[in-house]
Amino acid sequence: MYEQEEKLLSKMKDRYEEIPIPSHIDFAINAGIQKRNKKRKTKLVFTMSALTASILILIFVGSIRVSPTFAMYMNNIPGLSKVIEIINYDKGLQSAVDHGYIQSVDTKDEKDGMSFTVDQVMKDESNLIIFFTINNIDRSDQVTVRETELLSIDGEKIDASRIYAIIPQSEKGQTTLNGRIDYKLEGELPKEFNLQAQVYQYTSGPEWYNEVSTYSLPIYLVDGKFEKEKEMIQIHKTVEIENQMITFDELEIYPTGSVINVRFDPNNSKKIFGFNDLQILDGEGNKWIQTDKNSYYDLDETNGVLYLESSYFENPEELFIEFSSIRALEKEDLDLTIDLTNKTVLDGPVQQISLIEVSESTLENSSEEITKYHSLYFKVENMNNMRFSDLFDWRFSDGDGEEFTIRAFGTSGPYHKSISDYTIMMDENFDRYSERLSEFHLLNRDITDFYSIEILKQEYENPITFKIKDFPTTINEDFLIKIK
Amino acid sequence: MLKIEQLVRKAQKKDHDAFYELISIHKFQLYKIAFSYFKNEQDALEAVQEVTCRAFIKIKKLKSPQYFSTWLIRILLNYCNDELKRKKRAEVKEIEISFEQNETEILTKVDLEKMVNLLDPKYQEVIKLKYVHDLTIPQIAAVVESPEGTVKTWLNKSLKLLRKQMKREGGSFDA
Repeated sequence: MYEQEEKLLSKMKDRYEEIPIPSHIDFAINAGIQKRNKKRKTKLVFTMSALTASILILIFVGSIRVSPTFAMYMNNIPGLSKVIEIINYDKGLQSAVDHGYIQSVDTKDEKDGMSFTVDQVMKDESNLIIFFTINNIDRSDQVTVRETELLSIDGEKIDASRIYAIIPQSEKGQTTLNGRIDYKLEGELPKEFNLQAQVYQYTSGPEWYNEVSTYSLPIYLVDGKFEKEKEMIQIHKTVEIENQMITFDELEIYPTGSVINVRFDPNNSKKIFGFNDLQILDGEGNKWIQTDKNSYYDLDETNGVLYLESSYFENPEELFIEFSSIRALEKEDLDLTIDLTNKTVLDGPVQQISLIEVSESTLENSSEEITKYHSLYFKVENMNNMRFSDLFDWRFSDGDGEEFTIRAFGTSGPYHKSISDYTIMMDENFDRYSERLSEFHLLNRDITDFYSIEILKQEYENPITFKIKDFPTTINEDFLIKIK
Repeated sequence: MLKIEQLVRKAQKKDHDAFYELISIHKFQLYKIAFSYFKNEQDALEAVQEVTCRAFIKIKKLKSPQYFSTWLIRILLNYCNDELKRKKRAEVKEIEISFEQNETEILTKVDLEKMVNLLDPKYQEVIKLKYVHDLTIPQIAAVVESPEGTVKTWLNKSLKLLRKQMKREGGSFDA
């Protein structure tokens, strides 16, 4: 009926077909995603305790592998199914559960309508692992666990440090929350003790989290359940990698985890940060690796402790240690010194890290206070899977030796030419979650992977120095050491 | 289409890469529609950016992943209409593209587009979606959130109005 009009209209369409699409349309898309990040309040799921060690708070997604024995065992103990997803990725822990090396506790404390239950515990001479559940969370609330403490029945603090935790933050509408807290025991753990856990509620106010209640959970360890003694394997082997002498002293195998003690020759020219792809092998294809928990390491100038999964219950006849490379840096390059005025790197591993730009940025916190920052943008070679925030000490100093604290680390995403993908922020006490409401732009540059350090905008005596505590410079040298 | 649904499900689970891909798949379409409203690159890009942002915020609430495309276009059209109102553009600029064509043809087309732009906004919208952006009647119905019958009626009325206009202007039908 209107063929002619339609024909004309379709020609109009042809003209639109020929509209050139600007190449920077991808920028517009990225900017749209960034903008959205600005609008949304990003919750951060990473915190760092200044005193003892870093605590990883991880939210787990992904499939769950369950061994048949494990599944069978699980069926026999009610409530254990919650545990699997929390230990699933740790072969050693799974094996311990297979061998019944876990105790049901089922102790509960109810307050403010919510209940906190300790479901199970695992323990050996060095470690205590507590599995917990929070029930009856109000559907409109988002809660998480912050501080926890182990107390004796007399209320005395037990000598132990929380080295790891899996504590998600509940989503709105979620009424239960499962998690796990790992302690490293410094001394004897009494048979009866208390776990105190502070449950916090997420708020949009300036404080981030309101403490809701502190729950107190009495835990009683059954006699004979966790009596197994660690297995000690003496190694005493020294390896040389590019003139760096590393001595493997011993391997301690506990039912819930293994520890390798290493020593570094004080005359080494390089500081050794870590071993990549470190694993223990039994020569029959079984291997025990560094899991998330175990990637927490503790290496100083001369000594190191490396954590791995436990081979305790498999008790292999032969054992090897293997790694593919080490991360190391010349000791004289451990300070990254930056001239803020001239925006240049004066000292440090200049081959691998370069300063792209220093600019000012503003951040708005939840109570709409605006803070000004210096943003230092870096490019780092071969970052691989390392987190930028792991590379530096949080404290830095200026030319007068006065100490300050880094306020945020940022990592740009694969597509993003501005930072906001992954940013960790701290206040001066290190312990408050914070959020990022602003974005840092480097849109005019053709650089996609870069990192940022944010420090408060104030007068610093030039130059400022950041301390490097890990770095992705690797020496590739595959080592296989027979230890048993 | 199945791929889009999968990407939507991933994006709803906060997979940024999936979301990026979804927008990338639609970027030319979004840009062209936006361009047909604003007739200039800057505003069209601005529209793509804003729609990306709005879609990112709202994607969790999208109940039927198979309607992602129409849902996205609806967001765009809402934006474009609001923005046009805001800018209160009295005059619509011609699109400036150079391509080889004889003069009469250009004249006819420019006139036709002018005429389209004189139509009631909702008629303009359906006409453009149908003839310029190649959406089907059911898709248009989903985008404008009206029954298919209504869309057909609007299209018919639009064509009728266009014919009237053409006659009045003495435009040529023999393009």
